[in-house]
Amino acid sequence: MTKPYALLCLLLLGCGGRPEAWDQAFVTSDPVALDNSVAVIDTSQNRALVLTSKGGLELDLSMLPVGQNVTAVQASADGKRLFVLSRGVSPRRNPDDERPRLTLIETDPTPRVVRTYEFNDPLSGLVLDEKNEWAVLYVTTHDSRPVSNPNEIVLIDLAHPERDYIPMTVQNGGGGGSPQSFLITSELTMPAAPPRRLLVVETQNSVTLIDLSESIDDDTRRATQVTIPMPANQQGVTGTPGEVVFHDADATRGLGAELAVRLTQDTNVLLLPLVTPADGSTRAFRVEPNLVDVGGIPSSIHFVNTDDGVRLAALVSSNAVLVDSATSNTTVVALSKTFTGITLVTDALGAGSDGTDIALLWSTSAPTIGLWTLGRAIGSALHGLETLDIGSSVQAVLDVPSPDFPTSKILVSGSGDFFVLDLAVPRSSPMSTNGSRFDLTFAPDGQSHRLWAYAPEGYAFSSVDLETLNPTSLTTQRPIWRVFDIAQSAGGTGRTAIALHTAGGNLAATVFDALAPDDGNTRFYSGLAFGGLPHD
Amino acid sequence: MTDRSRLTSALVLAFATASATSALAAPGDPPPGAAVPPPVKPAAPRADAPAPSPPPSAAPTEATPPAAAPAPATAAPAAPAAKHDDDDDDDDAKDAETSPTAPNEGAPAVVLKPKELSSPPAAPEQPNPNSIDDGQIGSHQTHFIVSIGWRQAFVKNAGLDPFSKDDSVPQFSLSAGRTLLASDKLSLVALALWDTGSMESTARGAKTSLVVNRLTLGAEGRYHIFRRFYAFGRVAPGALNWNATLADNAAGGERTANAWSFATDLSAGAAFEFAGDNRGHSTRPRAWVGFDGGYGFAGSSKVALEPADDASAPVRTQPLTFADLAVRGPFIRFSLNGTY
Repeated sequence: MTKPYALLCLLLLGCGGRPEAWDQAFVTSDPVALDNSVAVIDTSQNRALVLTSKGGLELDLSMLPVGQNVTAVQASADGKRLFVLSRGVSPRRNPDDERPRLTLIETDPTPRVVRTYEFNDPLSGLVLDEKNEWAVLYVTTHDSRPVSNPNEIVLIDLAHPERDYIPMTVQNGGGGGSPQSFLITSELTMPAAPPRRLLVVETQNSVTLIDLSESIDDDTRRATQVTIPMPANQQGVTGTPGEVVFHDADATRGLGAELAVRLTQDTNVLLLPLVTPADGSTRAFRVEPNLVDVGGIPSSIHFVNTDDGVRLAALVSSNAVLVDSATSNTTVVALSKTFTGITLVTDALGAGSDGTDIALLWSTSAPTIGLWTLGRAIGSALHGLETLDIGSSVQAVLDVPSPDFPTSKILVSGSGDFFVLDLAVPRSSPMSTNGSRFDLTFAPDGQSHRLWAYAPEGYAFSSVDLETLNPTSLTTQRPIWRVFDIAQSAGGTGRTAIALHTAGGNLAATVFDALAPDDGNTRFYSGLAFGGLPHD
Repeated sequence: MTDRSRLTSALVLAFATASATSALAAPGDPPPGAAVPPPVKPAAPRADAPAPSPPPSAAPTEATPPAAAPAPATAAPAAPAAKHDDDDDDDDAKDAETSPTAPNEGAPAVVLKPKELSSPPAAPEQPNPNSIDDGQIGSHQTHFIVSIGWRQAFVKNAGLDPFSKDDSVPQFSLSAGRTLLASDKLSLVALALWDTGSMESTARGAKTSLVVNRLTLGAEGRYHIFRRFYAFGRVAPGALNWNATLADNAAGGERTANAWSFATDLSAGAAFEFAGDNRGHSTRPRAWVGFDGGYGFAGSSKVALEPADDASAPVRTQPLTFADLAVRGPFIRFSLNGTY
């Protein structure tokens, strides 16, 4: 068709068109906060909507491309990077069909894509290292393939972005298991090699240790995996790892680095001391598994420094069993309540001069918390335990990500109320709610002195000043989806609180001054999902 | 002649006329009461005609059958004696002049003979002057014009994307104008044009609408290839106004925006007269079908949608901004024109 005829056709029939984006509904996953931005994935448009604020209740919107079919979105622990994992086009029909991809986004000073990794097969599991050195991608049940290797994982060395990713297969010791959970240890002292970090892969029936040392090549890394099959329990059922903990070597006490595994249906705990490998081994360590019966199925375990050395503390019913891994001896400490969770708060309170720990004990069934001074755990009649009745059981303990409040913990109760616990006193300050289930959030960079509590789909939320514990009640004029507290961009020194709303297939936000939140000083932005849509 | 004598004469004449009419009536003639031709004055007697026979002593009471009764050469037909007797005024000379039927003393009686009347002549067929082709271009070219039409524009503009799925801007066109100048086959027409249209769409599921009004004043140069067909070029500067709405479900209401901008149409086309007289100076209206196409320019405007109802929107709702809108692009237009 010649041009004039084509033009006539266009005029008569309106043969033109607009990009498909305008006809696609706004679909998203949960938003993710970074230090100075909030990222919302616009799934149908394969892009990230990055909200930033320069202050003055302004809201800026940036659009960054991400892969198709996003499966996981996470922020790095330091709040500096956003990781977006996508499946791409599946199945691929054309050479230019997009492959599975991991997109790394940074938002300081401006939002941008800094790196992408492309893979041959889709992976939808993503685990990020607390120290921002490694990322682990793995196969989940959402990754449907004709032929799948469920033990396939991909390691990404984030500390060396110039390096390509490292594909490898986890040796799970047989039995049909596949990676279920991952733990990246801190740097552990090796018996006959430089310190290094280990990747602990938990499958349904084994634990595999992968050497993350920079000094070994990838083939060696694959070849030096150490897999420890889980033992059968008292009923002959092969155990499943429920929790893995570790501690580093203590040279002064002659202790080597060690790991321990809590089994879900076993009264034994599995100790995994790292010992010197056999001569000629290419591995940096060897594991000598050791099973210790703690008298019951533990709800939680943790390595602790007591007045008698490092022990594995296992919470079993209303007792705490301290296991000496060197001798397999156990010490049973009777607790007044049944505690189900243990969190070390040594750093918050300052370690004892003897290096012993202090642990916070909490319970999902009893309205009591305990502060356990482990320096007196064995040699004291009361075992160093102080309890505090808070009136409600605790579902979770949240750290306050701020260096200004090292002794503060947030205890989330099963009733929806929450407590601000000051370990230094100790004192618990209840924050009663109106019965709604509140979500709690902090500024990811820890620079805010406020805790934000909101009920999803509600209109009311609250900002609690952690210094005065004075809550400020706030409202929005549209139902709340999420609330975030972010630093201002472009050198702004203030902070901005953003309450997101989704309604009618679009994205909106109410913006507050996070340092002085006030209902009467807000701005409302809507139609954010229209931002940056393509045009012909 | 006295009034009485004049009345008598008139009655006699009326009677004679009525008798003649009655005698001539034939089947097919107009029925009584139908219009009849006016009485015809009897023709003057010929000079060589024989002398008329003596008049009766009294006026006939009924019409006399037609007979060859030439009137005296020098005398007018006499009036009935009765009538004469009744004329009691003194103005005989006057009467003689005004009463041709007045009988002379001693002259034979004049018998009024009804004149055979022809049937009333059919009204001559009046030819409509507008149907006579005078070969002139006349009002084919010089006229007032009103027009109604449909305009379809193709606007490839990012700002239109939220409001149209196919880049088309359909509009209803109205215009009116007058030929200002005409010289041979060339003429210049001034026009006022109004193109108005609205469209509805969705933007990611949110309902949108856009109303576009284009008001222009056009100067149209024409060349008549035939009297009934001319080609033209037109330039029409003016202004464009648009009004956009969006159903903002997140804000809970409707948002609106509108703007004015400069606009100009440049187009060319042709028109064909499909109904109207050939005659150039016909005063009757004509009907044309027209087509034109060209480029419609319009300035760009910001699309900042504000809540239509501030009371229902969240406080301090910020404008929702789309890409700038410029309703410009090629267009075509079909129209039906009437000229007079």
